[in-house]
Amino acid sequence: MNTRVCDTSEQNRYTRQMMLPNWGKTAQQRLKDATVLIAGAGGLGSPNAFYLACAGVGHLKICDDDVVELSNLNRQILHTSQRIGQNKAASAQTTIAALNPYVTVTVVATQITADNVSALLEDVDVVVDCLDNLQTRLLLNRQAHRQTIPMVHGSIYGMEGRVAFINPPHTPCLQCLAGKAFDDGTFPAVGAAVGVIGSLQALEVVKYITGCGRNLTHTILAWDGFHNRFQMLTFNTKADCDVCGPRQPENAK
Amino acid sequence: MRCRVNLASPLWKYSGNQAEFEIEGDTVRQVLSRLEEEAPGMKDILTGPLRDAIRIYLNNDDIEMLEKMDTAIKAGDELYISPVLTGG
Ligand SMILES: [Zn+2]
Repeated sequence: MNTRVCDTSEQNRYTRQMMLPNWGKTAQQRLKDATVLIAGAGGLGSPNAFYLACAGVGHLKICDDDVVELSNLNRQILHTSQRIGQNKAASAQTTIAALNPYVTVTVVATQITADNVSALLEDVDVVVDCLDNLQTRLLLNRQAHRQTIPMVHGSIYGMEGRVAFINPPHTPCLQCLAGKAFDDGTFPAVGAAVGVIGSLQALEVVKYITGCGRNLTHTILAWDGFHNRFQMLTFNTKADCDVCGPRQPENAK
Repeated sequence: MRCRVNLASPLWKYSGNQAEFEIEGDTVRQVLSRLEEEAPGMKDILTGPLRDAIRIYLNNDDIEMLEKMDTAIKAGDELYISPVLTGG
């Protein structure tokens, strides 16, 4: 359905990644044919949008109903001082168009709700969870599980963060991990730290689409930037998870 | 047995701004109860209303998959306590 990556200037753009073994034209074409939903165009959504666009993902659906505020600009590198007051998804589209004209950006300037989440995930190959509250994250997780769409979870607090690759029905899901919300208010955030976690998420997406490397499944990567510590925490399916648990009727084999 | 306890940063405001503790104990339960004595602000998290919002890992394994609070502690073990992070 998409065009081939045949234009010389388009191919030249990706030379350095196409040098990797098992990448070449095939993996580059897979990226071009892919649709990725970036849920949230804030701190985590910024590095995701940048790195997925410059890697050559053909279609980015960017969803955010918020507008750019001055206090976002310490970390949300998609946006600029001139765009304060603009919708974040629309601002992201402007930034990405300047970075890579071969990428199509669909702007979704609405909040994710139970009513629109299934339409939002339609035709999406992978979703990147870049949201800023547990409730919407869990809503997205539930629907991604229903539609068997992989979701790359990322979250931050100050100078630390988490990444996990959720691949329904093969892996545990976000609901397995999250009991009740700990502190869903305004959280501290350092731009470079958000960049670390968002970049790790983008790499998980790229690995999944190209087939190069191995995804971070059944594990939560916990990064503590305060003390320079990476930990691989076990991540198990909760038997009574009401999204992916084996006791749910729709998950019965 | 002497055990190191590391707290994820959202918990520091409950621990008197301390990120790391060295605590003696034979089981996870003993270590956590001594942690609560040393840092009384941690009560809400360890045994109070926020208990369901955190997970406890022993050497990176979720204690729910081990013997939970009865899991034995060996010298040099590391406990890690963290809520699910939600910021983005
Ligand atoms: Zn689950």
